[in-house]
Amino acid sequence: MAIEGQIALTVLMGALLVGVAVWLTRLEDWRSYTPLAGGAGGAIGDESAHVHEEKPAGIIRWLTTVDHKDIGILYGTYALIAFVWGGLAAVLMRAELATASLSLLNNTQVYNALLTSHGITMLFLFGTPILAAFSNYFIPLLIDADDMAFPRINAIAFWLLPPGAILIWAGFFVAPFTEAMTTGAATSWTMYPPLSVEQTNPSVDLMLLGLHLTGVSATMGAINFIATIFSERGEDVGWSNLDIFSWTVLTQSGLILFAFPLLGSAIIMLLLDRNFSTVFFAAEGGGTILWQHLFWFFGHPEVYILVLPPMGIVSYVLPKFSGRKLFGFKFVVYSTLAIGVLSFGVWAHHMFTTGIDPRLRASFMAVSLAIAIPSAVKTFNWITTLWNGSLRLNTPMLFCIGFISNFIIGGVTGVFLAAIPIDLVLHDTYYVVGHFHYVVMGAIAFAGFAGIYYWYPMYTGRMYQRTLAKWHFWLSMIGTNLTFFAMIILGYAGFTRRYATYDGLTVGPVEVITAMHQAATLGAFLLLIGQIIWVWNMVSSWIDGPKVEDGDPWNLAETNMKSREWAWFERKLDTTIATDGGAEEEPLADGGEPTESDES
Amino acid sequence: MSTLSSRAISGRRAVLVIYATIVALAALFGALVGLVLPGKENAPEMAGFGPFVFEITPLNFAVYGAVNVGLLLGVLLLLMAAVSKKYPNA
Amino acid sequence: MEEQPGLSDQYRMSSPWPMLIAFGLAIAEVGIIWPLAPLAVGGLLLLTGSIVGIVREAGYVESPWPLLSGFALALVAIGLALFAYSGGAFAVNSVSESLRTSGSIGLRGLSIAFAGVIALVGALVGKYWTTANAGHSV
Repeated sequence: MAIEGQIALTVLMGALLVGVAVWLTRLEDWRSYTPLAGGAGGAIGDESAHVHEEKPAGIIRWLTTVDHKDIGILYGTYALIAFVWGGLAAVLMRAELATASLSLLNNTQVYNALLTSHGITMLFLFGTPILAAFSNYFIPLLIDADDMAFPRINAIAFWLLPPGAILIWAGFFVAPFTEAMTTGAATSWTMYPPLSVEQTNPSVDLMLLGLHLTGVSATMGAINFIATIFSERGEDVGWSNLDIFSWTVLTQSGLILFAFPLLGSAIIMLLLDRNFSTVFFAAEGGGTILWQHLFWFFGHPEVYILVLPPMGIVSYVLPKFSGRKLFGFKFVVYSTLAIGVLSFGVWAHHMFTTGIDPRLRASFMAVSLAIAIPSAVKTFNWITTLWNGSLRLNTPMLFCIGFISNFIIGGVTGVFLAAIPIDLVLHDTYYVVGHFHYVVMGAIAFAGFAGIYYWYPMYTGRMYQRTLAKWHFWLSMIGTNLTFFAMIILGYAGFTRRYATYDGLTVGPVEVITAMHQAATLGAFLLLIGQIIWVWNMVSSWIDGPKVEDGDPWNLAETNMKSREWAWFERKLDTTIATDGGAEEEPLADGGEPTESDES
Repeated sequence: MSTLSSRAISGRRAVLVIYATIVALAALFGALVGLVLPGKENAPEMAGFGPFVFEITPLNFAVYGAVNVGLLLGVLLLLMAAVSKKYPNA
Repeated sequence: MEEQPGLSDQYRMSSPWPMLIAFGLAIAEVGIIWPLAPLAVGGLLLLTGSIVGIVREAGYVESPWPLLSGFALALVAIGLALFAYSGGAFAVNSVSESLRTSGSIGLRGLSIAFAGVIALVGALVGKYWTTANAGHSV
């Protein structure tokens, strides 16, 4: 950058810092009636005596909040935005693949960049944050804690995400304005060297920095959840009656604690390789396989980081509408812990075709097959819960059932991939893509939807539109199965993943491949319509859906299923109606409707 | 808000519908695999499992898929039904 | 933490620092990896200032200024060490050009050290010329 550029940046940066300083002094206004503003020294001792509990109004509330419920809402909003971005990237790719030749996108590099952005966004910016949204909002309520163990660290963890997303997506924003960047990073989400080292596009550096930030964020969040669940439980919440969702989040946090710091270190090594001529992943240094080991040592636990809390949500919500408690609760918890341990012993099944030692391969195959067992135990328990239940098919329940059936398909296709001889044939084909999308979209996202609908009355104070919700479910269910079923067939036909075009095909059943691609594209558009309906439903119901006046909107008391968080909600409704100065935490001007005006 | 609870249906019926759907999907899947496999290079003429060997056609593969998945999941389903009968309150 | 469980009615529900810490970290990272001196200096100031702010808010220190000077000295030390390691040269590079020259490493060192100097000045000003208790270093 030329010297004028540096001067302009200096001015910008100076202005930002001055702005921050001015903002901080303005914040003094709302803090000035606490003794804290009185002077440098003696404030500390008085703090507990006088600190007020109000939140500032308007946008400032959202920028400065350390309340776990507000932070949960922030996480959810953020994840929604990321979901839209990642989803639109997928729609663009599917639209491109409707025809064999390049017709929609400028060049194949744009396709590669979309592919990379879709993967990274969905896993790191949608998947992990949407789960953090649930755990932030509900874990303190479920375990009867007042807040997270470290509320400010909780807020730091969230605020690391927006800059992370901006950096990860930066290539798309900046490329039109500079010659140096061609498009977004096009390394694919696995960032394998030597490709990721040799691509000179600086947006790869930005993406790595952004990923690093999101990794720091996830780690901070995990530490917080572990501390909270261990030390902040209420008096009558012991380990024996800890709910299943908290168990899964606790296990997930443990996985994050071991997996994400490793990713952060590997990313720094990659950055050094790119910019400072180190040779961590060069052939003369550690070799490119080193990256794959490090990446997948993180990457496979990441799969379980993403799937365990959704399993917890399903285990939690499914019984509510089955009218009976979860079958074999203990075994669901044991299988969660077993998955947590085993998940660190399977990473090399992503590398069966790289030529690693066959003895290593065999042991990883064994563990990979073994990890199917605890997952099957969970499925067994869910089905048994259904079997003896009397089901109420509300939208959350539909999504739970959709989760189970998609998870069975995703899981069974995965067991085959764990077998080395099958993997050698199907590696890097659409079969793999179909398999893991059955799990991430068909199962993880479905469980997310189940949770979003189930708790919607609680965090909005309103009810969603049920007909639209049913449309959302059926479009998602059909769209998911159409899209990813077609991908599994494409894989059997031998079609490799990550290609923007297929007009050069000479071998294989070309007509079937074309038809399957078009079916997948059709399915993707069904998904798109379903999600548009969903976003519309969420936003419009939040603004003027019917207010929930009953503390038990799902009639859970009827089957003796009412749980702690709904009891909290009932108390909150009561205090909002009865008095203004109750002990509950929402004394803001907008009373019992926390986020109505800001969140839409 | 009590109107939200729609009428209840039997859990057994729901599970059996899911089972039937997945077996049907397996049949469809088999048919499509039977369709694409012969188009590949070096594709074998015959396929099968143990003593059951048959030509690769969509119909044969559909039956193969449905029977395999139906048996496998069926056994698990019976096992599940037995366990839940034995421990109704677990 | 000051906030004990069970004392929710005395519990503070907002703090300006977490967001600033996160943004400071992000800006500083970009500014140092890509040698963009203004971002590095500004980001580091934002980061250290906010860390000091949050530590003081939580009650771990009484006055922010000694801690800020500590951070400042650490930054100066790290920056000068990096500058010395690079051989004492620095150059303003374009992002698309090489990021690997010793000049660009020198630039990184100098920007870190410069951020430390400003933070030190801020700490001294804060201590001797203001009455602010939670003031930011800028």
